[in-house]
Amino acid sequence: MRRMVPSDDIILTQLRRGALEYCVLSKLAPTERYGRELAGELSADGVLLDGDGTLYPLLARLRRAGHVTTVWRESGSGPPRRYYALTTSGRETLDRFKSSWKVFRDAVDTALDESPGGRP
Amino acid sequence: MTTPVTDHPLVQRYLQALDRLLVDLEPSERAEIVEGVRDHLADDLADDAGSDDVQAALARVGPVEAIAEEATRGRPSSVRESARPVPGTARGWVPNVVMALQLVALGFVLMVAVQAPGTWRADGGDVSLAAEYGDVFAPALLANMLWWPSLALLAGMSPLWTTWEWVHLVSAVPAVALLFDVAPVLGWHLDQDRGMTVASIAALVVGVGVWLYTVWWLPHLARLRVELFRARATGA
Repeated sequence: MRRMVPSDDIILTQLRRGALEYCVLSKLAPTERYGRELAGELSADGVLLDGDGTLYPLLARLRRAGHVTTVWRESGSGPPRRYYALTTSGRETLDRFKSSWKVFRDAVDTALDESPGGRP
Repeated sequence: MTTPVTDHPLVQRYLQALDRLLVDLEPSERAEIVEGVRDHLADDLADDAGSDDVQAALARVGPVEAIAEEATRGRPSSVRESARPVPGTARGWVPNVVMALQLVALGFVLMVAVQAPGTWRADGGDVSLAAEYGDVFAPALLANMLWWPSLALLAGMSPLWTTWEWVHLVSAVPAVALLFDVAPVLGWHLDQDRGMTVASIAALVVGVGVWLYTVWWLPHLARLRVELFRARATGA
């Protein structure tokens, strides 16, 4: 059977699925933001967000889960904007992820260092 | 007054395509995602942005399929987690039947129009579809008592058309009948025989346009969506 090596894109997509929501919560922790602003920050490194549009289903999911709330605010230029803000539940979720992430990240780093024939 | 950039044809087409792909979501969630993307584009583009700028912005937003995939993944009711059978009203025969019904219905409208009293006079180069108000509209609807409600019901029950597209499908028959009824008489009042001829010909041209749109284009869109349902049913 022919085995296929996953491409970098596929690997990144799988990694994003586990972490992106929490990265969004983290970006909202200091202050509320509107969608375009949030997308700009997340896509700056070209790693976290592959296409700005995929942010919006994620925000809808976070809002339904109660981790994010939205509010309309007047903007200095143009029509009112929808701003996204972290809720108490979102903040708690983010804190739990941060502690879990450290454990997970260290475990993965260790596994990658110790895999037979693997490269650190 | 500047037109909002979200009215740009490329943006409209993009948002409509996204809306269609999110058809399985709850209406409120579907609307929230589409509105989010619309607001994003409104923030990213100036109102006087050209097509090149709009295309670049749409490229940054990413393909609608990627957004739809993100919207449908990771939920207990996600269509990607389990294959669902294709609903009966989303099967391949539905667009063909709707197309046939629309063809017959509009055909009846035209037949009534050319059969109405005082119509289709070709003497002296004048053409008219109707001589009096009411020559076409009521008889056309009467002739379509079987086809038109069947078309409305079948298309209404099917997820293959959006609400707006369903409105277009259903309103085509009465709209064309009304046009054939009113236009020639109005034309005659405006400019006698010449006005009547011009108005009749214009009504025919518009009628053909409506015919093409509702008999060919809308069923064509529906056939594309049938493939989407089939793909989801197989878990693709």
